[in-house]
Amino acid sequence: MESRRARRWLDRHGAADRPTTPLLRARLEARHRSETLSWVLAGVVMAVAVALAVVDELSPAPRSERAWLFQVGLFYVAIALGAVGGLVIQGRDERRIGAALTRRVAHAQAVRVGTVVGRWFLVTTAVTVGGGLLAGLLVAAGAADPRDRELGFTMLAAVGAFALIGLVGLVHVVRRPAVADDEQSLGDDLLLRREDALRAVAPYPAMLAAIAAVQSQSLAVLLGFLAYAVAAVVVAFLASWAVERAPAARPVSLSREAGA
Amino acid sequence: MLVTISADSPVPPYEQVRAQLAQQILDQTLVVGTRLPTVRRLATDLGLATNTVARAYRELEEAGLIETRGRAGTFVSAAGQRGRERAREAAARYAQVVRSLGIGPAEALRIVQAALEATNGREPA
Repeated sequence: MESRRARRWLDRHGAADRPTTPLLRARLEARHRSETLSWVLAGVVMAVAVALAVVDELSPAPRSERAWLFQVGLFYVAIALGAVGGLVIQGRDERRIGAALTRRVAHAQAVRVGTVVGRWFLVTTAVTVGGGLLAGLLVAAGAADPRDRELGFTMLAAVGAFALIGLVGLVHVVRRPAVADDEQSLGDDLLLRREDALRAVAPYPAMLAAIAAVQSQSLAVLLGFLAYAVAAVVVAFLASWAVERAPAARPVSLSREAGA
Repeated sequence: MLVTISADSPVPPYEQVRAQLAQQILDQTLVVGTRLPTVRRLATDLGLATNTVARAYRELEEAGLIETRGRAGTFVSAAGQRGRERAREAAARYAQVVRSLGIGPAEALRIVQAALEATNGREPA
């Protein structure tokens, strides 16, 4: 199972000619465990959300739209925290894997943060966080209806919270030690870091914006929030697709042949 | 441009780091002005104690191969390249001397070899 996961990962990264290694298999297994944990937590949170929604529906005095949006926001924060928590647990597993290596390899020169996380992370963050803050600010400051302005403030607070959570995840991904025993596995380490960085900046604010759009009082606010939500989800999808298919290091002999 | 640490090697880890960085600086794989990883970063990546990498950096700095510029970080120093240039100049002067004395290339190399061995012999263990 582990071997198949590593095989798929290498194939996706255009390195079908590379054999899987115990190190890559162990690292992907650690990622799989942490992702499973994050998804289970997300499932529990969603189940609680649905249960509360049903209770609310049956209640004689339903809550305000703002309170409902705040609650949904809290659920997303819980899911985001679960995703970052998964990254931390994965980091702990990877340190254990690294400690077992008899040979360790690192870059001899400083690597920029932008190189570590990759340009897709930067684009996704700019659209998700930057776009979310801008959308929230515009609605909070410019909407005619007071309820829309409240939605704008809620969006601002939510995007700020997600940005902070994402920052924690990013710091963890950047600062964690490289787990590599040769040049190829050091290249893999960079690719895995980029994939993990994207996990830290998942487009939760976009989902919140979609819900806020439905509750808005004017067409302009609705379209604004929806445009942001669609842009953030599309960019996140493209980023995920591109990063998961970025070329991995090729076998040394083949690289030399290709370069010759 | 990698640094490799082998736990099986009889060479102490700090010397493995020092020797590899020195080699890459001298053969200009790491060119003048290249920023090296921080001590903490390299130690973490290689699974070493911070003091181990700090010792390697200290010795490279004493040899003039790297320099620390405050909080900006540690960089490959131009002094190391200047040292090589001085060695080349000294070798050119030596070549002129042995030619003027009528000493052949083979004997001139043997003299240099003996001088290097004598210098190495004087180094502390």
